[in-house]
Amino acid sequence: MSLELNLNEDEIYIGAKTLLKQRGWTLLAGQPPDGCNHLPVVEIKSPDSRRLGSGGSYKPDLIASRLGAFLIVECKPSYNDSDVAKIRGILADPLRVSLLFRELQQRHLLERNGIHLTEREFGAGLFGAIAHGEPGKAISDLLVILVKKPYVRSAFLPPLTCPEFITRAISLVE
Amino acid sequence: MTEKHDLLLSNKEFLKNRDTRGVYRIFCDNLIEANWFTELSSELSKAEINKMQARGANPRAIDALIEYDRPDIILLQADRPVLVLEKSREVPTGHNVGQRFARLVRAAELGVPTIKFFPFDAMKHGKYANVCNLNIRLLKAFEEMLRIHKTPILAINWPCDKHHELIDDGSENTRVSAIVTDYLSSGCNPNCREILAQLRAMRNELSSRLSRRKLYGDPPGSVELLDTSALLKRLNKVITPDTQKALMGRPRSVLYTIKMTPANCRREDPYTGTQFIYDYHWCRSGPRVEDKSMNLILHFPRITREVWHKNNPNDTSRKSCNWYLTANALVFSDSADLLRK
Repeated sequence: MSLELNLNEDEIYIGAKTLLKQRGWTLLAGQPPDGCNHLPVVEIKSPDSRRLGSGGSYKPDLIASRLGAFLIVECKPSYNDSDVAKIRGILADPLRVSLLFRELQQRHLLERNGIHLTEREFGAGLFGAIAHGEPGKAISDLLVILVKKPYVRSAFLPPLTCPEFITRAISLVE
Repeated sequence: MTEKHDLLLSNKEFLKNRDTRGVYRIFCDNLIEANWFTELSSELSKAEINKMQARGANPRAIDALIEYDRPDIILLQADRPVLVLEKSREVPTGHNVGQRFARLVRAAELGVPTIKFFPFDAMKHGKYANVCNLNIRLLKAFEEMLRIHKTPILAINWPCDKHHELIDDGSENTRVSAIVTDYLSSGCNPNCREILAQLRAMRNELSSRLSRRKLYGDPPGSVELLDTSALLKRLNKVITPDTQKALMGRPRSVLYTIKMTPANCRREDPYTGTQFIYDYHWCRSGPRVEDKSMNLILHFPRITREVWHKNNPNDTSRKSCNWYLTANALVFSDSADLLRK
């Protein structure tokens, strides 16, 4: 078994943040496993949820931005089908993408980071990513953040069909 | 020096107990928080980071501190706990005010200086987005805990920007970092300059907020301060004569009414923390839970004793044991339990 498989959820989270920051991404929001972060927690309400509080809502582990691309990142120690389905579900639902944009706006997170764009531009630049420590294959439509220790060994694994805006955002140069 | 200075550990006592030889060890539930904590002071750059385990599997000092609940960070020097830190992005207001409080109480009871780092005023988001303000009773409880346990418990504000959004560019850590650094570099002296300055700032904050919102000096709607005889007359049908006799030992009582229903009564937060806030606010006169000038009565008018015990047993492996930590009695719809005289 690879050593990386022993990374826990905290380490995957820290590794994903480290790689994103090293590669020039701006961390906009997030929620670490079982704890308080310095990043704001962004909650996307379920459009069909009528419950008060957090019922039916989704809180991405990380939201990051670079060169017009926006990533929703889920962090888990190993590859997880339900995470993939969760992110695909969000990206495929225009209403939830819209709710995410409004949530970021309401918290002034775009403005604070010097990002000025329309909801349409935001939706066009939104992409999903899975961070884990399990060496494996790329995913057809999502970015993989492969976390290794020391964290500088972590790397992006682009999707099989990689849109140009993601290729540009994960490249080393602007 | 200030009057509060006299309430803390004496310098003589501090110097006697001081041990600066040991390395720092951080115990946490979350590595992200531990990493943040180590960056507050260069004194912590070589600190060893450990995950807190289940009760019974930690060093004795850690197990003692997590007896009620688990704080975010516990710092040991050698085997001695020197600091507990709790960090939260939530403004303690409304239902949130009592959450996380029992863990702070435990640290104070054990004489471990404690920091709660949180926003005093910040935007709450959602459908009814608005600025939330700190419930002042929390600061009052901290002041009473300091007086009673002679251990500093510090509220440190997480500042906001012009939109009332929490600052997260690193500058928000300036104050907490200064306090932690001064405390550690002084050999963990609770009388260090920055701690005393923060205690003064908290007193000013309390009095300034209280002058603007005088109602917070009074009990909230769920709390009544009563003559014990009047309280017993009201609850006469469900409290046995023996329990009544025991409660009459104090002429005044605090009645905290909790309107949980049988369907939602298997819970602790925020009530078990809130009971401590009211306990320190109105009842406590000394460090032991029996040291009270007024009884603390928890009243559950919608729950029978049987339903209560089925859902909230006094089981030390569960957080439900926190219900039994400080009140004098639990009064249900059909009977009552005397917990302590």
